[in-house]
Amino acid sequence: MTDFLQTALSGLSTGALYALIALGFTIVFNATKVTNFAHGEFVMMGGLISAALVKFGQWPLPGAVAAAILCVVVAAILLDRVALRFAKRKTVLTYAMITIGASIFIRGLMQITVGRGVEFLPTFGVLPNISLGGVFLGSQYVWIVLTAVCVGGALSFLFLRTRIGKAMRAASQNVRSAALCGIEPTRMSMLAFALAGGTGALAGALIAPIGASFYEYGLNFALKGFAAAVLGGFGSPIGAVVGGVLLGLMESLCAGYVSSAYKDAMSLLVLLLVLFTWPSGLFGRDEARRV
Amino acid sequence: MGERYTCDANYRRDMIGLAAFAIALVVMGLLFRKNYHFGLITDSCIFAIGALGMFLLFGLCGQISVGQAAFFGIGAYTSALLVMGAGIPPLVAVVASVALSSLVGWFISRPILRLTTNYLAMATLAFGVIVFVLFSQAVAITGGLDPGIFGVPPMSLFGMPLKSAPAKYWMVGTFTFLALLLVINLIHSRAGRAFVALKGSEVATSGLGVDVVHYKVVAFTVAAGLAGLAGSLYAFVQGSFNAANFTVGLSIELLVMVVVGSLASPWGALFGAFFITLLPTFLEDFEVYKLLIYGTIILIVTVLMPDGLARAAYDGVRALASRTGRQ
Repeated sequence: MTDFLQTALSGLSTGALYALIALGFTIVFNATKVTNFAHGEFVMMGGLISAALVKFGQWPLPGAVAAAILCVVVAAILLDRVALRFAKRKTVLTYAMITIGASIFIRGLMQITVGRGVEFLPTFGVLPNISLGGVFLGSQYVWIVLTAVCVGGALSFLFLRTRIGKAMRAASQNVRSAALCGIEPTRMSMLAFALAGGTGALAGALIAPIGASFYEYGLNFALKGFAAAVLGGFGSPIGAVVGGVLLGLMESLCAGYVSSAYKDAMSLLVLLLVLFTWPSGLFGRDEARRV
Repeated sequence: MGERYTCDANYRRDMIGLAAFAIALVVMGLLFRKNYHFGLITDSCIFAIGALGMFLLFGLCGQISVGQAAFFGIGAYTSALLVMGAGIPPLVAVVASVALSSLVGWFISRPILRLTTNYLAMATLAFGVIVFVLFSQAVAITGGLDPGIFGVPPMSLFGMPLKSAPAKYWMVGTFTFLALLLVINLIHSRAGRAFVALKGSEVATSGLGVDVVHYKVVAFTVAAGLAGLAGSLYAFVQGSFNAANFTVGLSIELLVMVVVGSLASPWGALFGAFFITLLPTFLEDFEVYKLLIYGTIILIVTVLMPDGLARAAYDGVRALASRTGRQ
């Protein structure tokens, strides 16, 4: 029983990370209807830049993480303002290809600037390890869970209750009518990319002490985050959190009781099954179009 | 929307292009003296076959796939295992590889092609990663990442092994010619017209009485079969490979080839395959800068030249020519 609880708890905490990543997809999608394939790279950059600053630049941890988040926010804004805005053909598929191109570009850039080493960030500390009745949760995972809860709550509040969140959603529904109501769609889309970049980089810095950071890890983050977002219903902030937690749980149980070698394939299989049979997900409004 | 390859004049033009391609292959084969040169064109041709499949699916039909490496890998492993494990003649193994990868493609195409754009891209990406995990973890069958598969015997024709670089060149060149012939004829058939139509609008196409799902499945299956053929030839030419050869990186490379060339013509895919395969030989330290260069290429082309690099150059030259002609 303790074994099961421990497996479930570590699944929950990994799930919190997936939820954070999934939220990045949700924010951008909600404001622009773009699926940002480079989001995994934002997460990777967050971890890798902070690890590099601490290791090579001897920066203090909080400063390094803040600087990494800033870098990623700038990169995200550039992706929106430069690449997506100047696209000659504005279709969903072109946007997808542009973000795929951006993700490969970022991977190449990090490989050259930081190098091909696998870097570790020191653990954040401060928060205690939690140990209850034989079940253990490391301090870093406590950080992840708390951050996911705070960010998820804040974003839900932003999108559902505040004017600016509503303006962002309006801009994605219909750019022209939103503009007629005095909303500036380009500013909304820039804000969304900045927010997504920030949360993505934070997620990357949070996982870097445990899972290491490496220039090729972005793809995995993107697939997990997207799977979580789809499972919860693409575009729904609550769905992203629930989907992330569910995905983490499933993966952890699969690794614990079936086979750890196939745990990554397992979560992707879940993604495919959900897309095939139930594209609207748990909290979605039939966003994934089937023909 | 640019010109579409549908009328007779265009068919004739494509057939002339095919003849020119065949002559170019023969001339190169007669002129080359170094094995290195034979090897370069052989590799380019192998990827060109995969890229042709990608062109059919993505360029013509508008269905994106970021998982073609899976079919490439299925082709390579099937060939190697059949020849080494069961002693089946290589040529039969090639046919079996194409059949199996097409079958897998057909099997997953029905559910996966119900998705569109972003979701299709992510689903094919996920499929590619799942198959890669299988390749790398099922060590008992595939040899995994290390050591993988080695000692695949060379292709043989009537009991004669095609071991030398020129022999491999002629063999792969012939297959590339056949693949191009198939693709060109497919473009100018009823199916090809259906592909172009459903890229424009699936609803309008089905309104004309065209079975949209059927033709999407055909495109996906043929693309998978061509990727499988490329993988099979890759296995025979290389002789050894492992799961790391079939990562998402390969799927992206195939995608880049089509995007760089042109989405609207098979010649674009051919150009892209040669361009991307030969690029590393012109640049020093290519491995380090590879991702940055690919990323830059995709970004520039998708943002500024949505019809591809070759297309943009062609249009540019034509605009220039017409301007000077008027003066």
